[in-house]
Amino acid sequence: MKNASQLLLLLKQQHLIGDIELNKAQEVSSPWYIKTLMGLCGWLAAIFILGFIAAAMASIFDNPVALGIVGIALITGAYFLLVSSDSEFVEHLGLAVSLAGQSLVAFALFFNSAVDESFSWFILAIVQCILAYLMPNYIHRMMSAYFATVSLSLFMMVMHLSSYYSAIVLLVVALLWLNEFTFSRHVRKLQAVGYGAVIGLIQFKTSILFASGGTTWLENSMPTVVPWLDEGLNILVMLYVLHHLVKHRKLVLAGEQKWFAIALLVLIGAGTLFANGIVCGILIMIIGFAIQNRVLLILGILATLMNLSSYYYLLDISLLHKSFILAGLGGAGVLLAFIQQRLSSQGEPHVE
Amino acid sequence: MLNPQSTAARQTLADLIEQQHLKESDVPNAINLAELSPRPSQWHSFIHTLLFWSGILGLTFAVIFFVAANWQELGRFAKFGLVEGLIALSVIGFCKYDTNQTIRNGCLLVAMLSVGALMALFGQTYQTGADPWQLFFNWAVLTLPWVLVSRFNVMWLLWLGLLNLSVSLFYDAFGGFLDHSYAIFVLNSLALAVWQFSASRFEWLNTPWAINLIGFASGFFAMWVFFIGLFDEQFIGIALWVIWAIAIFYVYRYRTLNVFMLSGLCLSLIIAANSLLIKTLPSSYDGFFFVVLCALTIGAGTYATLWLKSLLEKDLP
Repeated sequence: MKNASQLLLLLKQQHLIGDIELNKAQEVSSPWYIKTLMGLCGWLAAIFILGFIAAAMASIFDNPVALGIVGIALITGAYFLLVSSDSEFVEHLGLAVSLAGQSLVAFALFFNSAVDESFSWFILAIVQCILAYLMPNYIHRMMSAYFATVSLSLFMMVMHLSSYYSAIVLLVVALLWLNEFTFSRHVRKLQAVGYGAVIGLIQFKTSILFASGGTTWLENSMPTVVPWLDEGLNILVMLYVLHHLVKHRKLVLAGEQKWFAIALLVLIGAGTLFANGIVCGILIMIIGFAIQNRVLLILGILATLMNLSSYYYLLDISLLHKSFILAGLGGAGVLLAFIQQRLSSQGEPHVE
Repeated sequence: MLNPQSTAARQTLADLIEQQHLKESDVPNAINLAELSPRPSQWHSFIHTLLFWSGILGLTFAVIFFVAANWQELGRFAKFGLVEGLIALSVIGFCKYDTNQTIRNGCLLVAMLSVGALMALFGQTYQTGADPWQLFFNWAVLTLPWVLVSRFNVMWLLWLGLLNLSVSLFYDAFGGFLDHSYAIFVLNSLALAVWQFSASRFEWLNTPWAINLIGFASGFFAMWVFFIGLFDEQFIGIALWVIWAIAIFYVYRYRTLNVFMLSGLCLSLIIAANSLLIKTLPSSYDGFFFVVLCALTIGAGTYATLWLKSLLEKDLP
């Protein structure tokens, strides 16, 4: 693996790039924890802005139309703040103002009794998608993508379509990440959306861990999914991703290795039909490894562990049956790991 | 598992594409040159690791679920035989594969988790009436020798988790002089200090993610202790938080640079400053009150971000 300067040199030698400013390409991109700090500060400041509006203009909370107008005005103001300035302070301010505006738009939708709940979630999901596309700020895009994913999950829950939700988002996540460098020139925009969607997806799959008394934090009932349908669709997405990886990387498995790969897929497919979230977590890990993305790989590991824990609380099947499923999956996993090691020592696969 | 330079290579490629230094048609070629696609041997190693650890975790969770299900059709001796058999197999595996560290780690982890299942089964079968904290404490004590010989950071973190649970449950059962957050804060902060100190001596402990995880636990409870100190007027809580903040700043700014920890410290300082203002400002909750809090948060957040970024830039090779 090349470091940044070696890569630039290699690309120049191959005549893929011309003479460019080396420092420009090496500019420090904030790691995830600094982005999280910025996001949390923005969120905290947004609460204080909402407090200010409630204290200074309390009467607008009685009027959903006024709330909506003020909310949209704040989001528009935030857009111009974020577009016009490179300053870190203005970036923080823009993020906080926009989050406060989004909260007011959400209040306007949900305080208005004339608007149906499912319609409100749908509109909110659309608004967040538009913001994820338009807002010129990495943290904002990531948060908007996360809110869009959560709003979509609540819309589909109200519409009794939760069984289809995780497969749809998983497919979008897979497509985004597998084509992050080739889909468009806006690589970081796609990456921000990809991270937000992954976090929203993990939250949905493990929502039982965050539930209290059988209800979500919104005091809605938990999303009910048909396990075999939900997981079955997730497995289809996994097959698509594996097909993409094999085709894209042109990895040819020789002889017994082909049978091994088929056995592995049958095992995962059959074994996880009633094991909530395991395919989703493993697939995020596989994508993270395939594109060499450390954060995504760690999110996949966390998702798998959290899904194993949330599996304990799911009431679709008894604990005894869950233990048999896990024993079968675990035993076969260890066995296949040993077989794979044997096969690897017999002959390495080759790349065409 | 991942190439160490992958993050830098991914950032460079993103810069080149966004700044249009690379033609669209050349991007796949550039991805290959950046080696952002794993080689077949790396794929094999990844699949092997994934299968092995999924298998190990699946088997262990299966045993835990099985004990929790309390299946009446199976006699008590068969149940004990099952769990003890798994422990015995794991220990045999650990001794047999003395050259393969991954298998040894996996075996010890299964053995450690299965001891918990065995203790739960013992309590379930003989109705010992023991408090839950005793289960976790005894579990930690019994598995300590394995943790010591493992030289595996996940085992140490799990062991620390058991201690956290037992302390928390002990306080729930018997209460104490102060809130249980104080005890958990002290436990995790001591663990962080010992781990950080030992990391310079033992290479296998020098894993940033493990240090950051304990630091997160320590910082979370430091904040909690501060809140109790401020709003319940217990001076000791504020004093402990101040000591924690100074220690984190000194160690991770001047002894060993860790920007993750300093980010956590900045967040803690911003929250603490806001809480202090909420406590001390006249509680009128008018517009001015919220403007002050908002300005403080955005100003301090901006300063913290700039400072942290400058530290990262200085740290670049």
